[in-house]
Amino acid sequence: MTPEGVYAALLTLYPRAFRETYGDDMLRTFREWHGTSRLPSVRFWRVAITDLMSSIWREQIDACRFGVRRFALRWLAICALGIIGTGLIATLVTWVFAYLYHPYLEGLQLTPWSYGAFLGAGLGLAQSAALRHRLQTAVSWVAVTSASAAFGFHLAALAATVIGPVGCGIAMGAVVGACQWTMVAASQRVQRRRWPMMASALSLPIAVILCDALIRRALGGMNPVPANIQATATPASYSSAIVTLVRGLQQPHGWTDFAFELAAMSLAGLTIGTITARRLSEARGAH
Amino acid sequence: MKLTRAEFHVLLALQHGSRHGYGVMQDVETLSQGRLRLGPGTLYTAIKRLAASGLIVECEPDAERRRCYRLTRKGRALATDEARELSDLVQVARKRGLLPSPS
Repeated sequence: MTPEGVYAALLTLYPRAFRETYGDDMLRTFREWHGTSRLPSVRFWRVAITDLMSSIWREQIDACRFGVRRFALRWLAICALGIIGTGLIATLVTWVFAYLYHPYLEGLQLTPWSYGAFLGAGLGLAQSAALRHRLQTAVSWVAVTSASAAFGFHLAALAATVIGPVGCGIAMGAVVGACQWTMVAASQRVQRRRWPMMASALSLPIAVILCDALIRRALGGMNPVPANIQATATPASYSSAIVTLVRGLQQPHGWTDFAFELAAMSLAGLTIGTITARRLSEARGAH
Repeated sequence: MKLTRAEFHVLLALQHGSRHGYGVMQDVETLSQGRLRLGPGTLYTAIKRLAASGLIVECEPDAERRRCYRLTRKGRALATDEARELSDLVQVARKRGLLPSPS
């Protein structure tokens, strides 16, 4: 590899915006510098690499403090904290239900998809609050998030024994992130007026059905794990991973359940944020 | 805006007219008598910050199509202030005996 090739490869460590503006000039300056330098080769490269590394570090910090990357970091934090916060609220609500126990409520159950819908609604609300200046379709956003989280969580629950609680979080995050990404992409393509109408028409009935199901089933918080899953759950052996996660969300038996909940939810939030960050940062100007 | 050592040297190098990146690098080495060697990384980080603050602007490319920069009025004023501050500091250093008085 030529010295210029090595230097060009090192330039890729700069943030893209900086590289696009100054990359060519830097390479040309390096070429002239390398061609005229009287320093011995080893010393020249020591100076060049030290110079590059200190500058790359500064530019990377700058890129996180300003510009697109700042938005991406904030977005990741919102996604992770939004879904963790909703998970914690769910846990708190369940404890309150357990405290106000009444025999009439015994036997009511909350299915995995309704947990997902609840988590998605909380996440969607947190996200739409953060995007309030850019998002013209907050209701559709929350509805799409809630519906996709319900589907994603149910899907994850089906594969829970294979992928584990953390895998459940990532799977749910991937489904929600993909749906949100599609929504933003579609809103950029379709005329602004038509898209909110279409999205509302599609997503609101889903949300209404979910809410109805939630209201009828949500009171089963004190007995939240479906019977077939409950049968396989024992404190000593977490044979069914979804039990651990659901119990972590609803009634953690200990720090292990709680830690699994936090890990799964934060990974779900980070997965969503990673998928949607770029599309949303590009969409900023459009709104 | 507080200038770093490299940024002040870039402004000094551009005091006598527009320069391209490598020209600034050479000038800085000459001005500092070889004590400060800017690599392309430090140089373009400084250029980016100075341009963003309106202290330098990009001008017409030279014959070899290299991007050139020149000082703005604001840049010149800031460089003058910085030089004055450094000069005052040198006076204080002389008074305190850190530097010999000019004969």
